[in-house]
Amino acid sequence: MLNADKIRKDFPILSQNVNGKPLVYLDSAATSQKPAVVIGELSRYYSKDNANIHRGVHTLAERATALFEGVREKTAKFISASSPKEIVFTQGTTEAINLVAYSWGKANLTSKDTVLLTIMEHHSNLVPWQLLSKELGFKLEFIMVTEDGYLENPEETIRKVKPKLLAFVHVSNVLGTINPVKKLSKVAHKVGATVLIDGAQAVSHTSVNVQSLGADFYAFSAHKMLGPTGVGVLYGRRDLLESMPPFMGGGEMIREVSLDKSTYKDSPHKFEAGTPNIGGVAGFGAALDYISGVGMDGIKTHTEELTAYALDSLSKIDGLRIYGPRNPEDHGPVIAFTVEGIHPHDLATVLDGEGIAIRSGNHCTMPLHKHFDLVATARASFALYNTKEEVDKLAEAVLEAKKVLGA
Amino acid sequence: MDLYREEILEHAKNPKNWGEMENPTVKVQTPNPLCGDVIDLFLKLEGDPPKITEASFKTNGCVVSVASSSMLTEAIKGKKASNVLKLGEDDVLSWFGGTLTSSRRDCALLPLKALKEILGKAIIVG
Ligand SMILES: Cc1ncc(COP(=O)(O)O)c(C=O)c1O
Repeated sequence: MLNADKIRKDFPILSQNVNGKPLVYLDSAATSQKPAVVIGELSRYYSKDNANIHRGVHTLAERATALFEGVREKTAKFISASSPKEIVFTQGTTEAINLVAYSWGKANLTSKDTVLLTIMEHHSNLVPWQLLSKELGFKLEFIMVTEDGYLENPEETIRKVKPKLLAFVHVSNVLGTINPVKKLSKVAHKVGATVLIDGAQAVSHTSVNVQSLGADFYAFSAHKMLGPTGVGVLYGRRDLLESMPPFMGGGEMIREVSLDKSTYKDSPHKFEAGTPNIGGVAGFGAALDYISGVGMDGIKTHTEELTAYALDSLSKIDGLRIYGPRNPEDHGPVIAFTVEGIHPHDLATVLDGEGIAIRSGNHCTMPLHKHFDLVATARASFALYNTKEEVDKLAEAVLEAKKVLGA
Repeated sequence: MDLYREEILEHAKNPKNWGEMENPTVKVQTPNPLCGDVIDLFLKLEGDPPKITEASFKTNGCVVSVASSSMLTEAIKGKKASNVLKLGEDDVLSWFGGTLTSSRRDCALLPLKALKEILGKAIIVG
């Protein structure tokens, strides 16, 4: 395990009481907390370097541009992309997926094609495809999920459906399932599919190598990996990005504009119309540095141990049911559960009274909840700053909630 | 836990007016878009001007929405529909004594929303 006392000191928000109790933050899957170096970088950037990028020749503009492009390089290294040109900055995972849908999708999908998703997708990797399928008439098919939270016969389904695009989540934000990206990408490529991975819940605690995973597109959000809100990343294989039309039109993305037509910059700039979240990207750079400083291997081991410990202690509670793989090796640091006789919202409210922040609801996965015949679940998620003591507090508070609510 | 005090929990555990009604004058199903919970509300109306003679409900919702439904159906039985329409959000929230955080207000207000929907219809029809 990591030295939690030391790490927790880096996160100013954690040292507060909530409802009179020390804050136990178990909602990092929704958004992670930010270390002081990230908060400090936002302030430093706006105090020292702030200028618009790619537009000026003055010193500040050059500094801001170098900073922004430097983070692009850092990001490329972080996920082992072959070039910074494969990194497009977006607002988040949602915009990154929409970019693929509206740029790649519109140029490549027709009414004869099929897009294959899974029923464990976050709405952000479902709704854009529904919208586009209405427009273009392609078919949407889904890989189902087994009772214990694994994809059901994914390889057979890919071979049978022969999709033009296979898009699925790397780590489920509800079941915690770590999907076999490498294996499935290989099968998908054999049938000629392009592969888009939603990595929103993976990048914070796993070393991601987009090339060895075989991802053609890989989307994620800075705010779930210690960075600020409003910044996301779309990785796209260079030849794919080069062949794609722009997503939005505006400044920053053009080479030459006349009244009747324009020519565009090369990717990634072609996809970054308008002034981007420069300050946020600076903060994201600090987050990447922080993660590298702690070391991804250490973070991975830490969150794996917490998850195994939590799976074990929660499953001992009478009437508590966990959704998702029981084998901790297949389970990212996200645990969805229900307690018999208690509505998840009530559970979350009682826990909040104890200073414990968990999420309740459908976590933007209504089809998945419906599949398990559920309206809502409670969800606890862990990051590098959480401890086993906090997991103990969670388990104790669930028992207390059962008492209070008489379940 | 202020919110889950005795009185509220009692309403949630042993709700008044629970269950489907046979031959209601009007019924409605209203979802809470935030959490996906659903409430079914049934009313029997008689007389002119119409009076609520019976009210019942069913829901898969949380303690807050069950308790709110239980208290609401109790509060409207025997009342004139025109008076019930005057019930406001503040009236319902006051039953919880100011213990609701803003994210839980919707749970408490869901039954009132269903009631307003159904009564609006009933009075137009009636
Ligand atoms: C698996 C998954 N995909 C996509 C998203 C959407 O991310 P964002 O809201 O940052 O665009 C989330 C987070 O909410 C997620 O957990």
